[in-house]
This record gives sequence, structure tokens and C-alpha cells, in this order.
Amino acid sequence: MGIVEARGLSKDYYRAKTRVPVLHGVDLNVSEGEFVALMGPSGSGKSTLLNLMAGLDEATSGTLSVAGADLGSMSERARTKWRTRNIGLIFQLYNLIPVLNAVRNVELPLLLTGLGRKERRQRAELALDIVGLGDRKDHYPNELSGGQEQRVAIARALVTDPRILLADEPTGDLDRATSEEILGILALLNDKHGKTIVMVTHDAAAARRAGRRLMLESGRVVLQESSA
Amino acid sequence: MKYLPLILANIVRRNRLRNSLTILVVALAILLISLLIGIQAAFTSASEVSDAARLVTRNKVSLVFPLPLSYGAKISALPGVQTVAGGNWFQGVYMRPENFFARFAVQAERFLAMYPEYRMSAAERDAFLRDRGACAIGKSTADRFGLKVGDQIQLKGDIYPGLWDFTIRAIYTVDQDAYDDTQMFFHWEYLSERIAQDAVGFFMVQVRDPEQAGDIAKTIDALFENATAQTRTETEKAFSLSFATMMGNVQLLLMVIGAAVFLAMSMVAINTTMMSAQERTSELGIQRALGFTAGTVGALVLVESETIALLGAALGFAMTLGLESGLKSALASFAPTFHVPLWAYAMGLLIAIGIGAVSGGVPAVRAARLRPVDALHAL
Ligand SMILES: Nc1ncnc2c1ncn2[C@@H]1O[C@H](COP(=O)(O)OP(=O)(O)OP(=O)(O)O)[C@@H](O)[C@H]1O
Ligand SMILES: [Mg+2]
Repeated sequence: MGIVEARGLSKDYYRAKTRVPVLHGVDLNVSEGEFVALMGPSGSGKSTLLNLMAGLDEATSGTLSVAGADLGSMSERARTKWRTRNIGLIFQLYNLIPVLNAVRNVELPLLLTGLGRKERRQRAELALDIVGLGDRKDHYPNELSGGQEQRVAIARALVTDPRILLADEPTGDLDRATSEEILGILALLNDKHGKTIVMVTHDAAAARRAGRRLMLESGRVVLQESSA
Repeated sequence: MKYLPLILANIVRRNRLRNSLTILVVALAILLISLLIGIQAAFTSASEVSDAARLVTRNKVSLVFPLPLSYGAKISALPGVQTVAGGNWFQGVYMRPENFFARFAVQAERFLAMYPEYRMSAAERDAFLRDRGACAIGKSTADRFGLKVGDQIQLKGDIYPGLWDFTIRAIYTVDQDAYDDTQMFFHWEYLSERIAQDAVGFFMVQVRDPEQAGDIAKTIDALFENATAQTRTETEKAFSLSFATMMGNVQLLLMVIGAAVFLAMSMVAINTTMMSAQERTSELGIQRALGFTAGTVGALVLVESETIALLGAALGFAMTLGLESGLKSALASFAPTFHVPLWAYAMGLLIAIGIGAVSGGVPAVRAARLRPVDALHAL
């Protein structure tokens, strides 16, 4: 039984009353501890699929179970609570809150837990240590480089100790060397910390860091290949 | 409480200038409303503190036409009447026209007997009553011009031309804000002697039983129905109110302008708060994606705007307190009993909460309704 299981998953958007089918009949299985890259042309529905896995959006039909939860049967509120505990999200643009310093940004998801102040701070600092930014915890986003901001975002995704990290083009905005740093961190989290990772990427080199590559095209998974 | 750093960071670190201006605008709105309430209260206080046992008799045609002094004795003789004191509005100028305070010539002994709210020591009272060229002034006016008992003051007459000299023999105080302690009273005899006229502008009539005040007023007017100078008698309250309606037009204008400015300021505050929430749509989306529920995100937006509004209120209250005494003397001629009542602060607080609720409410609901996917799309 996979940590992510999609069966016949479809998603239509409606734009001015016309149906825009984006995903139709996606079957997908991700095992615990896997690092999967999700590729495909622009507009093929990669972000849509990732958002469904994160419980940010609802599928039109099909079933989707993530970390043991049947997302289709849950209310928006229930999914929100579930997301806090099970999913870490990383986006292309680092999406930090500009008025909070690094450690407070990382601490943000912990505000939703019952943890005390000291404990929250300790965990946030630990997460920053893991991404190698222990010495920048008082910096504000505008005092950090793009790569450093993305590392803070990864620490924030990590801080609740979720089983799954979902990353939407996490290196899309970064240069080669910085991308490699970020990918290195993701690989480490997968390797050492056992996080299951699903990463959307356009970059073949980035995709090669994953254990398995899925190709999404015209709303379906058309190709799967695993690293030898 | 754990969200406090987030709320404070949003206020202090994001667009500090804009938030400061919003706070200032709310503060000015609160200041404005407090002052308007203060002025309004000053206008109405005169009629509120009036004594139901006191009537004012004046010429039926207009206040500016006098009545014969002899009317006083006739009114006194009516059953139920306790005291009658004649008086004239003197006006005049003390040094400069802007040094305005009310000045009356009154039949002093009887007048003071009817107005126990104007308090003075027995010694000063006797000294005032004994000296025909004496006057009594209110404490506010004494303080305003640095006058003390024994000082000479000179008024330049306008209704009654010439220079008029007085010795201050008494300074009266009041124990309620609503009582006017800016006025000056002097002996009616001093006036009538010099102008060689027995004309009286008004008679204050104190009745024994306030219940009978209305009937007695009618009796007085009936008494002079066929005389050359007919009278109009009304309660002191009605008289103050009719006096207040003379000022009423000014007051109305003031209120309308005030209300318009106040509304404009509230709109500005509401608009800027809404804008700053709007600009943050994607950030709010991130919070939703991180697992903040719709309710939490909405509540945070609301608390932030309430915090700004309440900071504005605090500043507004400080400004009101700071300006009140200065304004009291500036408004002395216009609204002598001006002071900002406690309920104006309560009102200001409610208004600030209202501004916060309106300016935060709309973006809060919007933030709560935000679908995280759409918000992230807005990136
Ligand atoms: N909220 C929405 N409403 C309507 N249509 C949408 C919405 N979100 C996405 N779409 C459409 O769905 C399709 C898939 O979008 P999606 O963002 O999943 O593509 P993607 O594979 O992530 O593309 P990219 O590589 O450019 O990020 C696109 O045609 C897009 O226009
Ligand atoms: Mg995408």
C-alpha cells in the first residue's frame, strides 16, 4: 500500500461555464520513502495534481489517498488540519512572509500545533540547521539570497515533521549551482530522514536526482522510469 | 497570543508609514468626534442645568426691547412667586473684542439668592453687594485674564456707550462642569443710574413650586396683556433652548462639517486597511496552504485592523486630553462650559472598534473565503 494512491483521478476546471478537463484518469502509486519527479509540458496539470495531493483542491472524480487519508471524503477544514500534520509544501517562489525573520517563518506551521513557545523555537532552529541556515535565523527574507530563501521554505515545510514533502518546481527560479544545493538538501531529507518527496520539475537534471520520474501529458501519466 | 508576533510584525514591519498614517487618521477622527461631543454638550448643558423653578420674563416682541422696572414689583406680588430679579445684557468689550465672556447687569442681591450654584465666600459676597461699582466674575474668566479680588477692570460699552469701571469684589466658582463659570455680574443700579433709565431687559422669576411654573408664567403674561409692553415668560430651560437655537445654525453647520470630515477619515482608514490586506492575498494563501484554517486567517486579519484602530483611538484620546484645556479657553466665548465628557471617550472607543471591524471585516471575510489554490495562483 503506497503512501500516495490515485485511481482514475480526474480534475476539470470551469471557466465561464465551459469545462476545461485537466486531469483525466491519473493512476499513481508512490511508496513511503520514495523520491518521485513529476515532469511534463507546461499546462499538463502537474501543479494541479500536486495541489490535489496536498488537499488544497478537490478532484472531480476518482479516488486519492495520501498518508492514509481518503482526501475525497474529507471536508475542506478536515483537509486543512490533516495537511498541517502530514504534508510539507515547497513552492517555486519561496513564499516566505516578508515581515517575519527566518526562524519565525519556519515556526509558522508550528503555531497550529499544541507545542509551547520554547519547543517551537527549538524545532524551528533544528529545521534551519538541517538546511544549513542555522546562522541566518534572524535574517529577514529580503536579507537572504534566493537559494537561502528556498532553504528557509524547505525548513518550514520540514518543521512539522511531515511524512510527505510536495515541491512544485523548487529550483525553477534558481541558477544551476543553487539548484544543486537545494536538490542536495531534498535528497538528504529523502535519504537520511526518510521523507517521501514528490517534486514537480521542468529540469531533466533535477529530475535525475529522483528515484523515479513520471511524465504527465494530456492529463495522464504517460511514462514512468526508475533510476537504475 | 502565540499569533501576536505575526500580528505585530504585520503592523510594525509592513508599510510602517502607511500604518502610521492610518493610526493618525483614526486618531484625528476620534479627536474630532470628542471635540464635537464636547461642544454639543456645552450647548445643551445650559438648558440641562436650568432650574425648573426659574422663569424668564422678557419683552414679547424681542429680547432687545426693554420692560419697565415697575413690572418687577407687580410680578413679585403674584401668589407663588418667591423672588424676582431684573437684569440687562450688557455685552461691552474687555480690552479686545475676542476677550469675550457674558456680562450682565443684575439686581444683585436677589439674583444671587436665586443662583446658589454660583458659589462665593460670605465675605466676598457681602463686599460685592455693598459696593455699587463692584462686580463678580467666574473663576474661569479670572484665571483666563489673571484677575483677582480687588482688581479694577474697565469695559468699553457698546450697547451702553462709554467706559465702565468696576472693582472685582467676588470670584464665584461652580461645582459642575455644566455650570458656566465665565460670566460677569454687576449691579443693575450702577447701569440704570448712569443711563438714567429704568429699563430692564429681563426678569428672572423664582417660583415656590416648580409644578406651578407653567401656570405662573401664563399669569404673568396675562397681567401685562393690555399694557404697552407685553411680556413673554418661559421657563429658564425653554429660554436657554431658544437662545441655543440662535446658536443652533452655527452648531448644525459645525456638526455637518464634522460628520463629513469624520466619515471621510473613516473611509480613508477603511480603504487603506483593505488595500493592505488585498496586497497580501498570496501570503494569506500561503498561510492557508500551511494549514491555517479559513477562520484563523480571517481572525488574524480582523485582529490586525482592530489593533491599528485601537492604537489610533489611544492616540486620539491622548490628543484630546492634551488639547482639552487649551480648547476650553479658545472656545470660552463660544461654548463656555466646553469639556469632553467621559462618555465621549466611550463613544470614541466604540467608533474605533467599528472602524476596525469594517476595515478588517471585509478583507477578513475575503481572506477566509480565499481558496488556497487561487491565492497561490495570484503569485
Ligand atoms: N484555477 C484554475 N482555473 C481554471 N483553470 C486552471 C486553474 N488552474 C489551472 N488551470 C488550467 O489547468 C491546466 C493545468 O494547469 P497546471 O498549473 O496544473 O499546469 P502545470 O503542468 O503545472 O504547468 P506549468 O508547468 O506551466 O506550471 C492549465 O491549462 C491551466 O490553465
Ligand atoms: Mg505548475
